Amino acid sequence: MNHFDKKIRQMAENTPCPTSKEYEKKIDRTLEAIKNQSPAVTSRKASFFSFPKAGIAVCGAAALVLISIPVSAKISDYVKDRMEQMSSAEQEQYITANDSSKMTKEHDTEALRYSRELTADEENRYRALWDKYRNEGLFPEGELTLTDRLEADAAITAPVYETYNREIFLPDRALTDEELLQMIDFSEKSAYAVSQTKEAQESIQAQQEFNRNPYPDETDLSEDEAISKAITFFHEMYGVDCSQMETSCDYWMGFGFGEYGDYEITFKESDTCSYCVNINSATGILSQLFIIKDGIDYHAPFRTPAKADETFLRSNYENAKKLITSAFNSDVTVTKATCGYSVNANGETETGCAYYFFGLSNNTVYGIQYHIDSDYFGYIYQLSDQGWEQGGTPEPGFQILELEP
Amino acid sequence: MNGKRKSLDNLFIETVGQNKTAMFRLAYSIVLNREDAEDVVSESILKAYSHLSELKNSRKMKAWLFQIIANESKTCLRKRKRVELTEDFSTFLTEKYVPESSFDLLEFVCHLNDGFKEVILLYYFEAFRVKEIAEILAISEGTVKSRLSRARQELKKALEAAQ
Repeated sequence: MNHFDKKIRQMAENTPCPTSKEYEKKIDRTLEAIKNQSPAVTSRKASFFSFPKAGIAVCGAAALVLISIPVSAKISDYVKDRMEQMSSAEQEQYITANDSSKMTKEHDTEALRYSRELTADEENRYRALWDKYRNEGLFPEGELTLTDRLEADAAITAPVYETYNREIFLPDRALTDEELLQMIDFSEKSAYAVSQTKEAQESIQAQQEFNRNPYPDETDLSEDEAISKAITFFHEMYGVDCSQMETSCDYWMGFGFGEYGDYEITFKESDTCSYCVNINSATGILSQLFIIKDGIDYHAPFRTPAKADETFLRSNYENAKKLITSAFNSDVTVTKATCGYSVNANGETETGCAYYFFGLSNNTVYGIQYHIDSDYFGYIYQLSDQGWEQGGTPEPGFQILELEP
Repeated sequence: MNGKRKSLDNLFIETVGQNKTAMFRLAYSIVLNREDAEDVVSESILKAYSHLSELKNSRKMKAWLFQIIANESKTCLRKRKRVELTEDFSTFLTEKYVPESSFDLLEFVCHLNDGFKEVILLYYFEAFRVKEIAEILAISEGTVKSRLSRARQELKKALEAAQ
């Protein structure tokens, strides 16, 4: 297994980037100027929810991985009963209030926020009340007020939870025990409701799996299977038999949690000719493919401009289409297709290449680089597996030819 | 000023304070000049603050800040006209980079061409996810992956050369 990415991340962590004292002072001065513009800033420090992890519960599905275990495993009978008594409608209300669709997956920034820090007295009472909530069944009489979005000049007279920014706005006065209990209740109910969603359960399982084995040695596809697939790709797509060529296989880690990596298989025919393909280790589909042929590395960016002939590029589309559909053994159809290139003042493509983009019926989007001078499709890459909108927009400045799928 | 803005201001100051070095690193990797990088960061902070109310999701504040720094750095380059920007990234490594026996990752990144260096920096140094990098740099996820792929091939070669 290739731990290259892990190694580079570690190297990055250990790479110093000393900044000058002048720089530090400059930034401090800038921040000071901001503080002076905003007198309120100086009065209180930002406050993220700083209670035990169960208290971070209100953060939505992605963050629920942090709190689901306390909710399900350490919960008292009092709390368990209270949670289970929630109706579906009530649960739905808490799920909506903690909608994670706009959230990033950086857990530490997903925590519930307060408009001000709790005072030491409030925080002490909060902890004591939470203990009683869990162990003695001390519950609030009312509920925390929820609102989608507060008016800019809204007067805050009691705690109110704003869904839009997932933030609790607090009045300036000291909070009562009842108000603190309402906040605790909101946290617990939110945690429970969101943890019951299918997405949260899947997220929890995936995170637990990832924690157990962040860099899996075993993938859905074995190395032999990947090599066999690679041989098939080149045979079907380019009519090349790689089975007898010198073969190497690397494994690249995925791009982040929850995403499998790629096998990278290279077949070397000679010093000036090799065939390389990346195959997703979970799905077995093509991630990218590039060829070095007659000494031309089609994976490297080109610099030599070439004349772009629109008529020819349109007629050449069928060749590109045949190539990409053969990668899927003709199990997919093309749903959208374009050809893109950027031209200079002389009507030449700056890179000497044009790019065919394909949206496929399996929701993947691919780009195929066509090198004009050598009349060769030497580089194919997946742009997205989530449809055209996610991957169909090429670099700015491209001239786009719409093509008939 | 209402409670909401108070909170956002505080978060902004905290985010800037925690990312001083990272912001400088990103700016420096693009403008390749210490003083300009410092100016870029300083101007970006003020610019970001003046548009703070436009930030739709405060949880994306760091990514948004980095987006502004990347844009300001490029603006700085255009003004300076010392480095020619190429939209098509037709070259990969600048001519200046020569692998040395003790490999310096940041040095390597700084000698990558525009488009590649930001991706590598945000991915390896700042641990942003591909999706976030795509948002920061306003490019597709596929382009991010493609650039990462190309850049790490070069990185691999450079590391081997240094050993």
